[in-house]
Amino acid sequence: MRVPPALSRRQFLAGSSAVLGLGVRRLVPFARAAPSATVSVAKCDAYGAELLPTLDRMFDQLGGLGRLVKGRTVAVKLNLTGPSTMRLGTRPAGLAHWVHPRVIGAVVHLMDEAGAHRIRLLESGYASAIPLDEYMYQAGWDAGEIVRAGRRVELENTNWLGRGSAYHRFDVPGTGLLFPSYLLNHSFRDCDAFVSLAKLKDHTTTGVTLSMKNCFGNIPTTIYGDHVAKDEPDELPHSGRNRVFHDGARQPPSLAAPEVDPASPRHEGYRIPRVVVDICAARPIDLAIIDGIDSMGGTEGPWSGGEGCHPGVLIAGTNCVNTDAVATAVMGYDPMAPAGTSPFRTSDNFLELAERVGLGTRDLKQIEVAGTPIREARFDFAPLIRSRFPRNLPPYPGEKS
Amino acid sequence: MNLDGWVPMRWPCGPLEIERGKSREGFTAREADALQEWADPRSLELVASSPVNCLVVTWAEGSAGDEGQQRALAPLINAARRRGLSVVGWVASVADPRRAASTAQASGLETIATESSESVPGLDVLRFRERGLGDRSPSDFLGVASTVWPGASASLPTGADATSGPTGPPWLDSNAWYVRLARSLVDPKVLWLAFDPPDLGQPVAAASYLQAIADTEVYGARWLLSLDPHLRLGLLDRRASAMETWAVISRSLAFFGKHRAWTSHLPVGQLGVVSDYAGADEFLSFEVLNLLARQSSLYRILAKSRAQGMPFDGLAAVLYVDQAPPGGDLVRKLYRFAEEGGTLITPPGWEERGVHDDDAWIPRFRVLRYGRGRLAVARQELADPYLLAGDAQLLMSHSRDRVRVFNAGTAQFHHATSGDGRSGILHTLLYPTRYPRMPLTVWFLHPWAKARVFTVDAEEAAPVGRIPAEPGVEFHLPPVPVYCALEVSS
Repeated sequence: MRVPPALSRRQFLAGSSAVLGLGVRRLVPFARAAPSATVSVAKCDAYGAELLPTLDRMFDQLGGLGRLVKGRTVAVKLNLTGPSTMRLGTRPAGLAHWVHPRVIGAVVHLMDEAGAHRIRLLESGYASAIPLDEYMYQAGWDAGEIVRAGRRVELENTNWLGRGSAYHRFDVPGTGLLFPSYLLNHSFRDCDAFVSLAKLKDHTTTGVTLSMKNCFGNIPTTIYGDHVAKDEPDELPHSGRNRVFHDGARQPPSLAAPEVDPASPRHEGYRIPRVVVDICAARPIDLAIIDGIDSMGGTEGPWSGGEGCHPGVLIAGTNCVNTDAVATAVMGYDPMAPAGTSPFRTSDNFLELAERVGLGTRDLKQIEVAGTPIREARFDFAPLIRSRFPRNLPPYPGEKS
Repeated sequence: MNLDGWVPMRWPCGPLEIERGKSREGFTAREADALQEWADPRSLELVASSPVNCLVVTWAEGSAGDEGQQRALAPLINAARRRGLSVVGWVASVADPRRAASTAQASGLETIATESSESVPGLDVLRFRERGLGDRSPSDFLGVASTVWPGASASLPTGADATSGPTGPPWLDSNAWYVRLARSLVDPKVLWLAFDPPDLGQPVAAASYLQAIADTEVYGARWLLSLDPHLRLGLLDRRASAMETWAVISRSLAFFGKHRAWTSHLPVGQLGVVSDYAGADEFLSFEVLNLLARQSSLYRILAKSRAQGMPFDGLAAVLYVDQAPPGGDLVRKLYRFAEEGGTLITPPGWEERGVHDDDAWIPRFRVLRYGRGRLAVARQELADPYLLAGDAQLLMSHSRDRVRVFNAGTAQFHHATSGDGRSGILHTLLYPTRYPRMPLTVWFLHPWAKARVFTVDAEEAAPVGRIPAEPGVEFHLPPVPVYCALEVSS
C-alpha cells in the first residue's frame, strides 16, 4: 500500500469505518466529528486509456485501495438515476447524469486487482425490480463487460427485496434528522466496505448531487414508494419516493419507523438534505468516488432540464463530507454557503447538516487535497442553472431569488 | 364494394339518435339540434376535403322509430351518393337484419353493418363482433366492436398525461396487440375497429385522436372514426379549436392512407408467443400480448395449431403460455429450439432438461442451461400476465434487443421490415406528457445505411443523420409530439 506522505495511517483509517471492521453497527458517535481525510482530485480528459492509471494514482493518494477492499465484500452504489432509456438530448446517460460505464469498469478492475473478495454493484433501478444488468442493457451498456472487469462481480437492484430474504434496518446514530432508521436491501448490510460511485452534477433540490446524495437511491421504493400499502411492503416497486420523502404527504408502511417529528416542515428543501444525511450516517460511505469527466449541469437528470458539460475531473476520498465539500468547490460553489444561497438556494445545505452531526467537515481549510489543486480543477456549474426547468414549488425559508 | 379503400366515419344523426340521446343524462337541446343538423345534406361539407369517404349511419334498432329514421336520412343519403360517398346503415343486433338490409338497398345504401349473426341473402353484410377470436373462419371483412379508446386515460382532457414522468409509468390502453392477433389468426382483408371517444364534458384533444388513428392504422386496421359530441358541436359552430382538431384527424387519415404499404411489412419479433388464444387460455394469452406491446417487447404471434409448421428464425425466445402442453411434435420442436440456442419459457410441469443456471435469477422460474440455449420452467402456474410479460422479456434479456428508443417516455413502438429485409419501418407513438419533449435517439442492432422520418404534419420525409454505434447504428430525431415513422433502408 502506498500511503502518501501527507496522509498519516491514522488519518486514513479514521476516514473509513469499514477498514476498522466496524461495519454498520458501530459508528462514530455524533458527538464527535469524524477527522478530515485526504481528498484526491485529478484532471482526466476522457474515458480512454488515461482513466485507469488516473484512478489508480488517486487511490494511492488515499492510502491505497487494498487496505479498503482486500479480502472483503465491497458494495458499490452506482448513480444510475432515472429511467434507463432517458438521455439528455442525444447525450448518452454515461456522458450526462449517470456515472460512466468505463469508470465503473475501471473501479471494479482496480478493486479486483487490490484483492476484493467480491464486488457487488448496486442501484435502485427506476421504479422497477428489473435486474441491474438488464437495466444497463436497456441503456445500451454491455453489462457483461463490467462484470468481466473483475473476478467475482455481482449486480443487484436494491429498489426491492432482491436476492435477500428480508429488509435490514439501519439505525441512524442518535435520533436521526428525519427518520430514526431506514429499511434497506440486504446488500447494504452484507458488505465489508461501502463505496459511493457518484456523478459531479447539480441537483434541483439539494443544490449538488455528489457521493452523499447518490445514497438517497439506497432507499427501496417497495417500502418508501408513493403507493405502498399501509402495513406491508410492495412485492415490486411501482413508483418514486416523493410522498414519503419529498412532500412528507404520508408515512412509510408500519414495518418502517415513522418520522422523528411528523410536525416538521413538509418542504423538500428541508426534508431531502436530512434524509441524505440520515442515510449516510446509517450506512456510512467508506470510499467516495465522483465521476466529473463528462457530466451535466443545471440539475440532476434530463427530466428537470440541464445541459451537458465537460469538467474533465475525477474526485475521490474516504470521508464523504470532505469529498463532497471539495467536489462542491470544484464545481465553483462554496461548500460553506448557507441555506437559501447558491447552490443550496432552495434547500438546507446537507454538508452543513452532515458536519453538524459529526460525519465530517466541509471546511476546505481543514481538508487536505492531493493531486490537482481545486483552483486548477475548477469548472463552474453556476451558469448551467439557466437550463433548469422552472418548478412550481413554494419558496424554501430563506430562499433568495 | 371497395372495402379496402373505404375510410369510414360514424355519422350520428336523425330521430333515432336524438331519442337515444334523450335517455342520457346531461343531453342538451343543442346536442339534439346537432343530431338534426347532421342529417342535413349541407353537413356533408365537413368531409368534402377529408379522406373520409364512407358514412356509417344508424339505420335500424328494431323499434317503431326505424322507419322515421330511414325517411329522415333519405336526403342525406342521396346527397352523399352524389358526392361519391358510400353510406352504410348500422343495424342493431336486436333488429331484423333482413328487413333492414332490404330498406337499405332500396334507399341506396351500400350495405349494412351489424353485430347480428343472422344471414342476409344477397348482401355482403359488414359483420361486427365483440372482442374475442373464438370464430376464426376466414372472412374478407372483420369488424370488432367493444375495443378500447387507446391512450392513457388521465391524458384525455388535455392530451397531457398526469401520471407519467420520473415516478412511474401510467396505464395505457391499446388495441394494437388485438389487431395483430386478429390479422394473424383470421387474416381478414379489411379489419375495422369500432370504439367511441369518451365523453369528458369537453372536446377530446386532437393528439388523442391522432393516437387513436395511429393505434389502429399502424397495425393494418381501420378505426370507424367517431367524434365526441363536443367536437361535433364545435364543428357545427365552426369553432377554431374544433376545426383544428378536425384538420389533425383529416391529415392523420390521409397520412396513413398514403403509407398503407407499410402494413404489409412483417413485424419483427424476438419473442415467439405460442398459444391457442382461446378458451381457458384466452385471458392470459391476450393480456400477455397486450403487456408485451406496452413494454415495447418485439413479439411474434405463434398460433399453437400452426406453430409446428412455422419457422422460428430470428426468435431469441419462445414463451409457451397455455396450461395444457402441446402435442409431441411441437414439444420436440420447442426443446430443439432451446437446445440450438434459444430460450424456451414454459408453465410448470415441463421436463427440466439440462443443468441449473445459477447466474440466471428470475424468482418465478427455474432456469437451466440446455444445449446451447436455456430452458425456463415456471415454479408456479402462470397466472399474472403482468409478471409473465416482464419475466419473459428478462429471460430473453435486453442484451438481445434489436431496437431501442431513447427519450420516448411513455410510448408504443412497432417495428416491421419488408419481405426482402432491405428496408424497415419503426412506428413510434408517444403519449403526451407534462414534460417538454426531448430529441429521440433510435438505436438499431442492424446497421441500416439510411433513414428518414415521416410525421403527419410534414409534407415530405426528412433525412436523419446516421451515427455508427458499436454494435449497430443510431439515428437522432428532433422532438416528436405524438407520432413519427422512421423508415430505414440498407
